[in-house]
Amino acid sequence: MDNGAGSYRRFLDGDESAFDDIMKELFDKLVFFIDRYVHDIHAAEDIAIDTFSDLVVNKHRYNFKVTLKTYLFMIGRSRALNYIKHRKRIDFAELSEADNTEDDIHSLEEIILADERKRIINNALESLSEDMRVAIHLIYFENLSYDEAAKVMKKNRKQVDNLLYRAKKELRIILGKDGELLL
Amino acid sequence: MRNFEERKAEIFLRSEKRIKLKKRKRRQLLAFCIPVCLLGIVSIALIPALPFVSDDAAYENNAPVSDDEVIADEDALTENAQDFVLLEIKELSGQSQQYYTITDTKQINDIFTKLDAIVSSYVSLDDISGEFSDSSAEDTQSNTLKNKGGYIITITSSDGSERTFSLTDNILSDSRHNIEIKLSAAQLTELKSALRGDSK
Repeated sequence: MDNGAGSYRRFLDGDESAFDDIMKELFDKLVFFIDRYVHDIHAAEDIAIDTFSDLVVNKHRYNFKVTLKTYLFMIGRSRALNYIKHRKRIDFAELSEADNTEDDIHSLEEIILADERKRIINNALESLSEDMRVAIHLIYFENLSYDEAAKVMKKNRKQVDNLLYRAKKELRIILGKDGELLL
Repeated sequence: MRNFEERKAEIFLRSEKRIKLKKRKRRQLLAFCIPVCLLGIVSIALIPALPFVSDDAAYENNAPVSDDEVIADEDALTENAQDFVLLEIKELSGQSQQYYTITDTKQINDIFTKLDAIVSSYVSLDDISGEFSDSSAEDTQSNTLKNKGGYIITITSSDGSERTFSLTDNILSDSRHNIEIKLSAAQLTELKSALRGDSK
């Protein structure tokens, strides 16, 4: 599994359907990841659309040295942080959108967090710091390697390792005996 | 949340807008850069053709004068000496005064050459070839000479400017440079001979 790099190569060669494959494989995961930062599923979706449009606009910026998933997550994180930086104090959302937000998150969670173990951990993650949350997300939910997670988070491997160690320790406290089995 | 097709349409719509924006920015950048580059090229091509004095050239102009240049300046000074039209000698001895006037340019030049030879060994050439104007100095020198006795020599050039020397005992004073030169016996004799013998 090349995490979309092969599909992107086909897209660069002119195969439009390859882009659909990339979207099907990575779009929801990217939205869920960005939501870890922005805590707004609609903004996360918007940022994910912008991140994917980067693949179309700057076709030759991706150098295939990391997986496409890692590359997209790196751009997604950067855009999410940028969004947080420039976000207005008061966010306006339509009532209809606001009503649907909870449903959207749950449907996305159902897609991403297929198994029960991940859902329990996901619920416990909210009490962790952002870095710990993101590190757990990338390693346990997205199955990225430590090196890939470090690249996405712009940290070194050791820092990611430390974050995970501390995150696990806190999760064990939060989850109790169940946590021992899950982690 | 959008469905798959809506997301895809949105991605390509935004991509298209961003590509257009990118192209427009590139065009704007080129529209700015091309005239600036052309202006730069034209400037580089034109500047060497302009009459231009570099700092180096200015420095060379201020460089110390060579021996050849000194000789050339001395020649110029001799040429200036030809412009003298009048030489007045006031001889003071105690309470009596005597005036002599010389209008013969050759004779004036002869006296000036003698004075100049003495003075130029003490002051720079630039100072010697300077303007001849210090009429107030004559009064001060007169007061001194009334007591001691001596000569006041005033040389007038064709443009009206004057230069005054005074001779007391064996001291020659140049009022313009405010210097006093002690003359040797030979110099004193030669100068007095030129002033007395030839002027009478």
